[in-house]
Amino acid sequence: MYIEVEEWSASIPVAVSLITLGNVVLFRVPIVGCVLRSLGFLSIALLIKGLDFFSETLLITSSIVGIALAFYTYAYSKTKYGGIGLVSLIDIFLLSMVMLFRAKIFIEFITFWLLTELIAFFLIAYDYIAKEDVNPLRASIKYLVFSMIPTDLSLFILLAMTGFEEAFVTPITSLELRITNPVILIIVLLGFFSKAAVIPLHFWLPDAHSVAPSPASALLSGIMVKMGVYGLYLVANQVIDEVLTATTIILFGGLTAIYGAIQASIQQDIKRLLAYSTTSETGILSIALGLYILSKDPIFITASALYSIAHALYKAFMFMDSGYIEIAIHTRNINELGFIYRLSAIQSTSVLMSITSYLGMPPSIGFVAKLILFTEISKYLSNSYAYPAALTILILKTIISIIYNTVYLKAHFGSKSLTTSPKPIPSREDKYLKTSCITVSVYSYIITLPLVILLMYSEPISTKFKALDILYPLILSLTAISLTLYLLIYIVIKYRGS
Amino acid sequence: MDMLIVAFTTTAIALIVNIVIATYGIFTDRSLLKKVISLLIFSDTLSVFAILIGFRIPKVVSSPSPPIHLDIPGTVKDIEEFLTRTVDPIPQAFIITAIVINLAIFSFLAGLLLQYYKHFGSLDVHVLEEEEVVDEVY
Amino acid sequence: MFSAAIVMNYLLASAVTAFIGIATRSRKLLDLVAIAMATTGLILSISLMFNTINYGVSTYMFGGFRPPLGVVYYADFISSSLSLLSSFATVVSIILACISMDQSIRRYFYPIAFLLIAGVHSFLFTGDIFHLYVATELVTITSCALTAIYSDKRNAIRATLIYGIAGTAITSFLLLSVILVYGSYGTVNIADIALKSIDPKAVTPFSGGVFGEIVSASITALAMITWVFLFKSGIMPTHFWLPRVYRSAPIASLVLFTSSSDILGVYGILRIYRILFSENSVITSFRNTMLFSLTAISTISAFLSALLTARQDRVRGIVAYSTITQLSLALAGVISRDSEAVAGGLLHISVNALGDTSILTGYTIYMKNRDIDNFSSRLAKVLIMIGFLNLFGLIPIVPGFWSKALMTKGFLDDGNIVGVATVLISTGLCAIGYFRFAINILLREQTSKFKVVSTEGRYFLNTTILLLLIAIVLGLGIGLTLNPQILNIIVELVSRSIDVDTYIANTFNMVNR
Repeated sequence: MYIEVEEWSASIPVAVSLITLGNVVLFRVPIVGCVLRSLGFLSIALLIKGLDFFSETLLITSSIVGIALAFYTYAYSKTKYGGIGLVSLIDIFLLSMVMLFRAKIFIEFITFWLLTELIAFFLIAYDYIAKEDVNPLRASIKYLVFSMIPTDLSLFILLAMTGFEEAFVTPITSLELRITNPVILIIVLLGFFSKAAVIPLHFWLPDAHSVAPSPASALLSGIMVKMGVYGLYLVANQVIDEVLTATTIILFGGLTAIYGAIQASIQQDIKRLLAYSTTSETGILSIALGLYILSKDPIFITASALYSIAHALYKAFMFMDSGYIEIAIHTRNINELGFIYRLSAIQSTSVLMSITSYLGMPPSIGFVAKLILFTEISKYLSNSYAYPAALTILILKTIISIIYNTVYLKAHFGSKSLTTSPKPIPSREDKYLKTSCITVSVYSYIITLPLVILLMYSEPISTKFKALDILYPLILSLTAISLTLYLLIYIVIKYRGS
Repeated sequence: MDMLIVAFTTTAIALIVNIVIATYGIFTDRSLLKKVISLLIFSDTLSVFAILIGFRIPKVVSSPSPPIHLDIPGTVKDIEEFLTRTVDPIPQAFIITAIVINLAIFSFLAGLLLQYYKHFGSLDVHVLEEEEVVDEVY
Repeated sequence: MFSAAIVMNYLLASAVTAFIGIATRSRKLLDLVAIAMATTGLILSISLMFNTINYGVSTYMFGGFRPPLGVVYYADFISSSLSLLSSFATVVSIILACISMDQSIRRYFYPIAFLLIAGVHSFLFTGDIFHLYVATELVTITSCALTAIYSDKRNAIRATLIYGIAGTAITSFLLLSVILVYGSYGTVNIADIALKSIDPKAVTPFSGGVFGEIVSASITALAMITWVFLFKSGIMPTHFWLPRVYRSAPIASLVLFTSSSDILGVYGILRIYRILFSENSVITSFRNTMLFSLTAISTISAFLSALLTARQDRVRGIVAYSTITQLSLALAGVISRDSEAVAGGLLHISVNALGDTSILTGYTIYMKNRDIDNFSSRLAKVLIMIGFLNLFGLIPIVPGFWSKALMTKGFLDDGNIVGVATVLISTGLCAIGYFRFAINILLREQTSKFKVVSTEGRYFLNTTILLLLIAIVLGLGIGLTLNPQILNIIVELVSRSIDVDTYIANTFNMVNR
């Protein structure tokens, strides 16, 4: 499935030292610090290797989001809190997740998983630490009880099953645990459900993701929920009762997808809207995983990996945008917004780019992910009831997602006009924020080409999915066309706004 | 001999009643002094109980004697007589130890009771507990 | 041999410190002697540990009398490791007393603390249930005295009286059961009783065969002793004294309590259920009923006290309720059938003791140096955080992770999913209290809510004790993480220690070692 290349032994020290150096320099020369940290995150994508396609794509995603956040976090922290304490916390958080995705043995996996969870707790409570606001503390306690504890339960059960010694020597990919007891299986699944915010344990997510600082929300929503899916993927490779697992995952995933999407459509707070949308997306990801367990077809994993990238980029951008709005206007209520395109045409254009990319506009990564997923499901339609059901849920969810994305767009392109003039953001920070945002949204278009090329040379995809050969030149031209199109749209918005 | 059994049974019943009363007193009485007195009754009851066990009812048949062997070196019959009639000395050793410990404990408790009275002006256990001065490190 | 030496060392230390306290005005000499004697005890405990690991067991006969006749000390891996823990805690506590206690109080503190530790050690080592009673009484009265050592604190006096009266009353039940056991078995030696409770027809030298009807006496004794030990560890229905004591005792005493006197209950239950009335004894069905109810009690106790921990916002409250939670979990592990869970439970006792010690020490030093932002106050913050992480136990570099992992594995092998859930959920609930406190104390700028007692120097002692604790906790955790086979060795040693046949054989073929 995946091309084997040895990882350079010094790759992690290089990345870590670049980021550390960046953090140190940040106090004196912010621009150099930010550039160094970006380079550090870039080196993650280039140097650090994942175990398989899924973990590799998650690593690439983390790297991209990290690069984009390098400037954004600095500017956000400086403007909102006056200091840069948030920056290093965010960097450690992301690094810890990167180490988790590249974990070769189980004990490494557990260590970084738990470290990530712990840092996430402090990130969610960050406004309590910095501003004595009580709501973040409540949200973080909710997160601790309903997300950390269940996940720890399943991790400890898995660790106990390895009998400790296996956890230290056997690579994760060849771990074969026999989870035969259905009660234990359900507990383990519930643990990872709680991290991915799938239905019985989903309610912590909207609170946690909406109170955290925006860069933290971007990471929590963009990457951390994928940890839950990655955990489920890990469980899927053990010796389990496949029908029970697949049914549970698809059932609860489907419920979550629909419920999250409907909830997102009726929210007034932009960050809560995005948070509910995240639960809905992880529902879809787990459905793809459930179908993989049912069919043992690795293309479902490829599809969900691509979908993860699409969603991570989309969610990272959206939270960055909401953070920008929060800093600029000091409100997150959609009814009070609707004039952002007058303030910043480039921000509004990138929102448009990001949303269309995610909804599946052709050359974007979202398009490729959905294409592969839909085609795969259609192939199996007659095999079991699960596939038509999954297809229905997917279509329903896509329709509702158009609704809530339109609602979000109202914040940018509404009819309201600016009543009070907002406090201006310092020019350097403003530049950083906007540059980071536009970078992410452009990424969701230009990353498609390298990924498709990577897919063409990966084993099962290239033989089973012949359409890629035709897509490849098409994507190249479409990327150019669409980027030009958005340039035109930007000019139009700029003209209308002024 | 019958009289002996009756006396032992009566003592045993009395001891059990004593234990019940003492336990009741320890856990329900409001006055700390009375709690300590109940405790004293309880521990003394236990001492008597242990002594009673030393008499080895019903194996010791009649007229128990002290565990001292006088005729040295006695005949086999003497030793047999000694073995069946003497009281077991080990419970007495236990009780001596327990009494010494209890002496220490009760004098300590008495001291504490004095301190308690000095601080609260009563020996009632349900005094109003004041919010402590915020001084956690000492 | 070492076991008796340790107890004698602490008794001697008690006498010497009392004498120096009365005879001289030199506080430096007193502190120095106390620290030296505590360190000697620690070294003896380490030697005992090596001795037991080498020979399997270390025994001593008092006066050379052979077992059923005389009092014996029997130190196996479990008791020697707990002895090491409490010796270490003594050193920490003595140093902490040097740092935080008033000069006039210290001369009372040292003799009583050493007496407490002597009692704890004789409880750990003894092979004789009457001696067990004596040790329990000694521990009870000395811990009362340590709580009430500041006699001007009225809440401390009140807590001590409640604890003292309830403790003495409950311990009297231990005496009652000792008398009952003696009356029916005709012996007070633990190995002798264990042998006769398995095989009532057995005849041993000196004590002969059983004397009376042993079944009902054993049942009564078992039920009463269980309650005594539940009280000693403050497991939930009998916990009322523990939060009071923890709220009003001096910090140096708390360090001693959490790692020596409070662990005795769990240790006692392990001894009673594994050795005295073992699995094949005549009362096995009653024993199983008791084990089941103990499991239920420990589960409920862990959950309730975890919920209470989450609500605390003072360090003493957190330490008190968290101790109840962790000891309940340790109890659940100790009474499990699987020896991995037993080892996990015992490790968890040490983890709780180390965690509480770290938090209390760090907090004391932090509060005393808060206004002078120096190296030791920053180190203290690190230590508090490590202590909380250790109690939470979710990072493999702290030992708390491994105790939980061992217990989880044991429960899972035993098919006890409720146990697994209890361990992880209750520590998770405790974490709410831990982290809220940690955020409030460490990460946010403090408004001066707390009265600063003194900002005197003692810089060297502060730094030493902080570095020592950090090194011990992290060293233990990292050591376990790098060599997971140590865990297997511990499980092996523990399972050998809780084997009743080995115990009986070792006692009756005793040599002074």
